[in-house]
Amino acid sequence: MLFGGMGKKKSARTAGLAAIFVALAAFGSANPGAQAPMPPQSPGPPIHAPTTQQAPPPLFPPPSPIERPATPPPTTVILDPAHGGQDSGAHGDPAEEGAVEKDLVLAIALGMRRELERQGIRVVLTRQNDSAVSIDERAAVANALGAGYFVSLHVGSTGEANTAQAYSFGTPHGGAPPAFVPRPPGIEAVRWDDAQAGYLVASRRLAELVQVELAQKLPRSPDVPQFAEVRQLRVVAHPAVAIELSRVAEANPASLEKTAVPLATAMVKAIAAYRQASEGRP
Amino acid sequence: MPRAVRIVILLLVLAVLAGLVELPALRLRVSRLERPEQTEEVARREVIRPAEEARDAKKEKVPMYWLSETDPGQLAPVETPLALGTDPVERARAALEWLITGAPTPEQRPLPLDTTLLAFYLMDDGTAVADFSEALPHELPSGIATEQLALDAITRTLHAAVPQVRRLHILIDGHEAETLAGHVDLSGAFDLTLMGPATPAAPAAATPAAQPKPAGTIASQPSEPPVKAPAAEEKKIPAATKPRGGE
Ligand SMILES: [Zn+2]
Repeated sequence: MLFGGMGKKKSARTAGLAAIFVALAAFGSANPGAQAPMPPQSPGPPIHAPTTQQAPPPLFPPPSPIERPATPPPTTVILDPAHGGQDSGAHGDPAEEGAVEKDLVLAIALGMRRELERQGIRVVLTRQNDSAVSIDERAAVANALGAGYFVSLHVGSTGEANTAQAYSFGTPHGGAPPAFVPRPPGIEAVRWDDAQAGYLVASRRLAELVQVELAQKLPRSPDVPQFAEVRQLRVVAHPAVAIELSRVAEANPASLEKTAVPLATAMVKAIAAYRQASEGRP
Repeated sequence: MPRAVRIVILLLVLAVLAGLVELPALRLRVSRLERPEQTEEVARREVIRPAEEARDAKKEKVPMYWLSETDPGQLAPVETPLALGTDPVERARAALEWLITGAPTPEQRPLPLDTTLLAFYLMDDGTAVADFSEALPHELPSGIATEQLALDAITRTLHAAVPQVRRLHILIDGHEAETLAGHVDLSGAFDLTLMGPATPAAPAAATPAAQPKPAGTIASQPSEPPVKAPAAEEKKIPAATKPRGGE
């Protein structure tokens, strides 16, 4: 009974997934000029991205100093204050008392934006108020941008107070990289759900650099990032990390907002180190 | 003796005989009613116990991936003597139920105590479906760290107890869920074959105090060496293991 039902569900899903095949010029760092996948659509025939669509700037441009513009384009950081609306995220016990994650991360994101913009970085927020924005909608905002660095902000339920842990997408026990659906010959496409596939290495590197900064800015934070199967990161076609601050029970909004500046500075330094390593640009 | 009286006596004798048969059964039922109310936890263990006692001789050491006693931010497998039997579905059910209810202390539970495994199915190709009650997402503290630990506790314990399971779908109350409790991805299947052989676990009696490590690591394993960025070569990073779509 269940299996019959599931079979139907699956075939429906497969059809739906087939529909969200989108052209990608390339997978992440290996091939510059990757196009962002499109958000999930209703079932139908596979959609090939129009060739007229403008390709975003390459993630790792070839190191040719002659062609390099005099002033590089400003770095874009996509700040993702997670949750919002009905989804409060992590909360104290009982839920009615104390701060909730959705408010804390929004305050931090707004503080970070101020500091990042002051340092000449372009900032895009996935939500600016207490609105419900779905995981795919947030990814759509991010993936529409040519190039950028995605930071999902969280305040968790556990861990030592006032520390931060960075995550990149992956399983903690390691194992092989994701097995992707074989692409039909001649179609360079990636499924929406696998948008992060081409950025796993890039995201891990970014997470390492971010964690080094976090350990300095927020003492007693761990030295190394972790892998986690964060749903939001999975659908982002950028180098992407999640930062989870600890913890919601002790959080008082006034002191947490103060972490916005150190967090922003940590991101600036980590991104600078990342770009220097990947592009040879100082 | 008049005929009527004889009939009455005969009927009385029959009634007494019937009472002798019925009364013990009645008494048993009354005594059952009198038994004190069981807590949910005790009741759940009672379900597992008769099976255990029946196969007492066949107990085996099964690693239970509970939270570390010293660092609740990581899992520390504890070798637990359990009689799981031979049927893979029964083994899976018993192992997951013991994972939920059997932790030595409440602090070591990776899943809320009220979590119920509503159903477990295993198909011939090694694809399994575990359907958990809504208590799992509702009572699990929300967060990347807590949700990843809960997920790892399920997949690692299942992998160790039932090697036949190759892929695991997790449902919540019969439905597919986008995330466990707001963070960790539950869509698609978890590929357990990429986990490798089950880790040797610490003996049940004394869990050696491990050095505190960052959240999300496994106590009995050396934490993976940090890939020092920026590395010159493209190093394969262990990552996601969920094959999607086609299945
Ligand atoms: Zn969160």
